[in-house]
Amino acid sequence: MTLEALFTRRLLIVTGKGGTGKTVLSAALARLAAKRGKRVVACEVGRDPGVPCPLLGLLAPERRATLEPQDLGGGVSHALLRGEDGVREFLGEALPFRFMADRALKVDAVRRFIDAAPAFSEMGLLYRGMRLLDAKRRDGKPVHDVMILDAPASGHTLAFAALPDTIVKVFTAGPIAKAAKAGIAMLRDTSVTTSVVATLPEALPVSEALELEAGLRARSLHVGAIVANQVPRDPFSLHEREALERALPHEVLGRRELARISRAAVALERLDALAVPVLRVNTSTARGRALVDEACLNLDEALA
Amino acid sequence: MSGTTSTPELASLLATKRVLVLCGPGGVGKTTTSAALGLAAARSGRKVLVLTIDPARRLADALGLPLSAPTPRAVPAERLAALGLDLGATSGSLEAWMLDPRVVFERVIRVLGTPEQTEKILNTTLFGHLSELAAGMLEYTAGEALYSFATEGRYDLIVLDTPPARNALDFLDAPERLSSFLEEGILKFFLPSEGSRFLAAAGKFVGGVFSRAFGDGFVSELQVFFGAFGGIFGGMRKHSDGVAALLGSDDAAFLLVTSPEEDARREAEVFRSELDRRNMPFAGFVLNRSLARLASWPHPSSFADSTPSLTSALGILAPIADEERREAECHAELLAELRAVAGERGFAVASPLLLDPGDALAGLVTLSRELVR
Repeated sequence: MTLEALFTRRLLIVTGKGGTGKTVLSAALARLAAKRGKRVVACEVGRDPGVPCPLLGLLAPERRATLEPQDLGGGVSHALLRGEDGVREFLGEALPFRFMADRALKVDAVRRFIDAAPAFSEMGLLYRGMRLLDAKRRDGKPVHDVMILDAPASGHTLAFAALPDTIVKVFTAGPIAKAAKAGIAMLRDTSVTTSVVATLPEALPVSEALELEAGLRARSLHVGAIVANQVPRDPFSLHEREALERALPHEVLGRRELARISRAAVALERLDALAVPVLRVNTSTARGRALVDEACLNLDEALA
Repeated sequence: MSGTTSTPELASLLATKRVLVLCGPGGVGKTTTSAALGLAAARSGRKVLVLTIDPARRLADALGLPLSAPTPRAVPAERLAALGLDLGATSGSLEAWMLDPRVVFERVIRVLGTPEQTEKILNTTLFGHLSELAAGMLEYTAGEALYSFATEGRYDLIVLDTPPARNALDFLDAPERLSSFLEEGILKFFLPSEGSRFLAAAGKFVGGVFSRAFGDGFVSELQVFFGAFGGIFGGMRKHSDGVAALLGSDDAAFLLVTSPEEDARREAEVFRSELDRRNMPFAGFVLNRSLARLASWPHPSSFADSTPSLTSALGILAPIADEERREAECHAELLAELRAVAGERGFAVASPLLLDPGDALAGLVTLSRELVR
């Protein structure tokens, strides 16, 4: 798959276990899509715009998060998605009068009920996402060509992918069932939505990535690519590596990196067995924006 | 030195406490640490249960845990014996259970409700999807499971691996959120016949809004579900109070698991002060995947060799070794900072990054030996 093929999709869900580099990957993908002329909205999920947002921190550390997309320049916008905003939007459209939604949300019981039920908040997220993708400019073209969603950890993504089905089972009729069905259609349309799984070149994370990939497929979600982050560079020939492993005792500096290089090779081989393209991003000591720059270079090369 | 892994404090914790709660963000190796600590306690002769939330398949396999089991399973003693760990020689045992919220919640309802109530509740669609529909189910049921295993008295020590959360102590707040979902006060709005005329009118409005947005079927489901709950809440609240009392007692101890990739120092400070604020017993920090102990390892340049191919390979390795030493020193420094945050009453240990973890169970055995010698 080329980056162009990845970016023909309108929704890219970046997922993976905690600590696998999802957020840096999301930032890099947003910048790469923008470089190819796409109008990108990079989204992360949160509760409070006052709390530092990791994705925005990588794209424009000086900015404060906003609930409506804000232009960061260079073709990239950013928005903080909250379930409650989607719920309000949904109620406003489902009820005959907007004041009913406002009044309903003022009733303590309704608010507490909706706050306490993750399905509502997640459904709100999905709804909010759909609305952002539906937004049109005056000339009829979409405001955002591509949405990159830095999704919370993988278990959550699987639950998210299964959510519209749950909704349809629990709410058999009414506007929410209709909205859920539209959500299912969007998530499962492989020409609209794809997911990118982040992982690390070690045995356990690779097993988890394989489980996640199977889980996403089982829920009819397209997996466009797997990205292995922090892949160690291998400056040795196989002969040199073997010679070092024979000659050096166990407890010597550098041994760990040698072991990591061998383990990475084994782990990546397991990923290569999949029918999904596997992209590699090299390990780096850079932090913040510099790390995103390096990830962009790596991905650009891998997808050239 | 600062790179040491085991501490006497950790060993005494494992020998004396009845509940060990491990908190921390996702991806730091909390489940692995829980299992390794459980193994260490079993080695010293205690009957241990590791209560885990969402173990990676490989770890679950290592512990002999099926994906869904109604009761805890013993970690196969013969596999441990094959790794040189003979629990038969001690009175210790290790069991593990992967929390299944639905199994726990069903048990609570069966225990607290009448047979008619139980049947009504279990037959609603809502019950089948409660995990998705009510926040904090995982945390609430983890507390319930802890309560029932602790009161049962079959185990000397329960190691609780909490659900991953951005804030380590979200686990303690989640049951609050669930009870606000299930709270009796909310019933008034869904059962409009009850209460004052004002409430009846408000209930009718709420019912109308819900019917329009979520469909009539859902509202009648809600009414059946909440309607059948009468009286069960009291029992649930009593259990929750029991859990809170247990977690706040001297029998319990809280550990934060973190890793050098996280903002470990800040996390540790927040964890420490939040526990103090809640009067919960703070024990210490486990810095996972630490390279701290590498700081004292020799540099490969001291193994200079006359073979030309090895000399060139050593030359390539030298800068890598330099980088590793710098990283090890950073981790050692971080560990020292964590010790400072822990203060005199607490401790900080580094759980070493294993060079070659090998088989998952073998890795756990090695880790348990490194943590408690």
